[in-house]
Amino acid sequence: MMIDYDELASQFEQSLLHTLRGHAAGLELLETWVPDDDPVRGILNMVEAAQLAGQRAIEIRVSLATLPIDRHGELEDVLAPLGAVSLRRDNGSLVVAIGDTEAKLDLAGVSPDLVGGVRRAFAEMKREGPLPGAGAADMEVSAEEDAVTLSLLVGQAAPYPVRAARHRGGRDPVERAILDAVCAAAEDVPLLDAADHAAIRALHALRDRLAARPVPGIVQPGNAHPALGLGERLLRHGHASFLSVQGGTAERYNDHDAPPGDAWLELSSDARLGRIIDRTAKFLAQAELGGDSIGIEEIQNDLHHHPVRVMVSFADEVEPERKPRLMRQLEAWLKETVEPTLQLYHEPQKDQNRIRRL
Amino acid sequence: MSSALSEHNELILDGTKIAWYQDRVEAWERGERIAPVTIDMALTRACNYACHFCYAMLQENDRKVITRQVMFDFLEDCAEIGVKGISLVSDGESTISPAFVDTITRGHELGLSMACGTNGFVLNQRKLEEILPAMTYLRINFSAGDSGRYAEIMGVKEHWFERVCDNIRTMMEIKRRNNLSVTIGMQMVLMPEYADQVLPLARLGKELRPDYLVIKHCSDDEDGSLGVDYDKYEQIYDLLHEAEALSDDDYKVVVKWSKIETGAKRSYQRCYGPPFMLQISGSGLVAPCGMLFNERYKKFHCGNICDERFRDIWASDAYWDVMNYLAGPEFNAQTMCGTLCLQHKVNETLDAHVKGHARIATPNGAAPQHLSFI
Repeated sequence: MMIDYDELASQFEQSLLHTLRGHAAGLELLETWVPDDDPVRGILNMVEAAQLAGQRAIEIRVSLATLPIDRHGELEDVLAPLGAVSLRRDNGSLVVAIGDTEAKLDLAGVSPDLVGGVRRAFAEMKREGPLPGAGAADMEVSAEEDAVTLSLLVGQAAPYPVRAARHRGGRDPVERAILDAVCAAAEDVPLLDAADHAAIRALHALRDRLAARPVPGIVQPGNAHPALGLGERLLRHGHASFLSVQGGTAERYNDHDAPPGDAWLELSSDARLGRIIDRTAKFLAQAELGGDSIGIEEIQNDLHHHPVRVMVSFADEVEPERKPRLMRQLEAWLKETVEPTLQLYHEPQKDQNRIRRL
Repeated sequence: MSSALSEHNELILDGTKIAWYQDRVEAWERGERIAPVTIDMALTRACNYACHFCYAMLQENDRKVITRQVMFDFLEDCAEIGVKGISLVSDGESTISPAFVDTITRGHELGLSMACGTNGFVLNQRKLEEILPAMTYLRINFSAGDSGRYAEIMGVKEHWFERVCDNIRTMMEIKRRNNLSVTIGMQMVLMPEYADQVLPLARLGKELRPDYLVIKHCSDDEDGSLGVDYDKYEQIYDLLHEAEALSDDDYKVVVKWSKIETGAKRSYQRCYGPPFMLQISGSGLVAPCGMLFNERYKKFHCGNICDERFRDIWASDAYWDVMNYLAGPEFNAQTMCGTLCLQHKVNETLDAHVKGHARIATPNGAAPQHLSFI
């Protein structure tokens, strides 16, 4: 559950003034909570109150105006003894998640690029346990390895969408957290795509892009962490098991390609361009580059006719050797802050061989 | 694969030899940095031909001049890090580079397998005497069986047809005289509209007697800029079988069926092949593959061998950032790159391996020819 700290703190203060009897925070689980002028202590009090009330997992939203960024590390340190803590910024607020207060994460075997993601996945874990109820047209599929089970609820009409994915039997909190991330990546895609790509999507969702990769070469689920390899195998066994029940042969051709979000598609072309130009300006400012170092020329459609190909150009003063990395960094930034399916392309160059036909 | 080449210890012209590099595959799977087995490159982007089908038209990027010294440094770096084969094909006509002959001989001295795809026009007897002993294969691009259509399809004067035919005869004569191991072949890049030339070319080959004639598809970019109509290949399957039937003991006509039948579709989304099979433009640009040479794909460009040593480019974070991007979920080979690339069979095989559909295992028996060219 998500609790708005600013709102509750304000209500509490108001009710101190206006409520003579039965004064309390708005939620039963916070009946022992008292805010504090220091928001770090106020949030600590809130978590302790929730634990007293038996609430295992809690998410608290607090505005950055109330709790500035320079105090986030202090908050994390203060809350760490109480359970698995994760912090993430979301639209001018900080969301603090404290999950599974009974267990602590041992991150010793987790590469540094995955630590933050695993913490977050553990704090937000919601796919452990049995599947939700199956609809009449759904089928339950399970796969097991070393007493770890992954279960899928699959629609029975092509493309066999995975409606829900759950895990059980994870042997330690890290494994459970990673399997949860794999389950999240497997949902709402065709079963074949879940089997083919959910594990690598989970890996990329867990990774800190700016941190060094866990291996010097190509990162794959199996070499990033054993739990990712386990999740990948369980999904593939689940797919095979589904096919054996359905009586079909293995469908190998998977062309599932997640479309852009509705919010992006519903924007006008000018609004899309404006949003990208605005975000690019912020990127350039953070990279300490001139505002015209990278120009956004236009947005083109991809092969699905989705407006996701962003054409860019560089100012003359940008050194040639910097351009490829800048493009990849800007693309990652735009994917994170505007729309995940955006792709960057540079202005193409025409063939200089004049005798050729194009 | 053509029935004329059913044993894997013969030439594999339609497939991949990556199974014979299981150690390298396992190292790749563990996340180690592996050297490419094969690098395909050109010594220049210039060309004296203007072939109607040429993908190089779509590959323009900022050109630099690859000198003899640049190539010597490059070849030394390749030998040092474990590259096995260098093919001079890519996006230009390497034989018109002043560095061509020295590149072949120096590469051979360093223990690299050297090969070339060329229009064959400037390869006179003197040059052939010098390079053929140092080569694994030499392949002549030749997409027509009569001089008029040759001129039209290859974008040259009609009499160039006979010059190249003479050069092929010379190649075979040198090979026989000196009992050389080099494989000499002809290659037809087939767009469906060249169907009228399939049988004339197969018959011409039977007269010229190279080791093989291979007939392959034409690649196109993701937007179909070259205008290849993949649906029309099926209409000429009978012609292609008829061409293959002209094979004899010493001359094989091989159709790359797997790619022609696949058409424009890829079965995979992740691109795993480039770390094993890299491409370099005739501009010196190091990119994962030829589909990504154009400035349009700048985010994938890793460096230029005219500016820095290849071993440093290969060891750089930039190179491995790009390779990881291609192998990651943000890249979709089905929608973000052209059709039937050089790495396609390697990609298919690695994808099936990663998904557990067909794990790579070293086949029993003798290794095929041209093992350095996967």
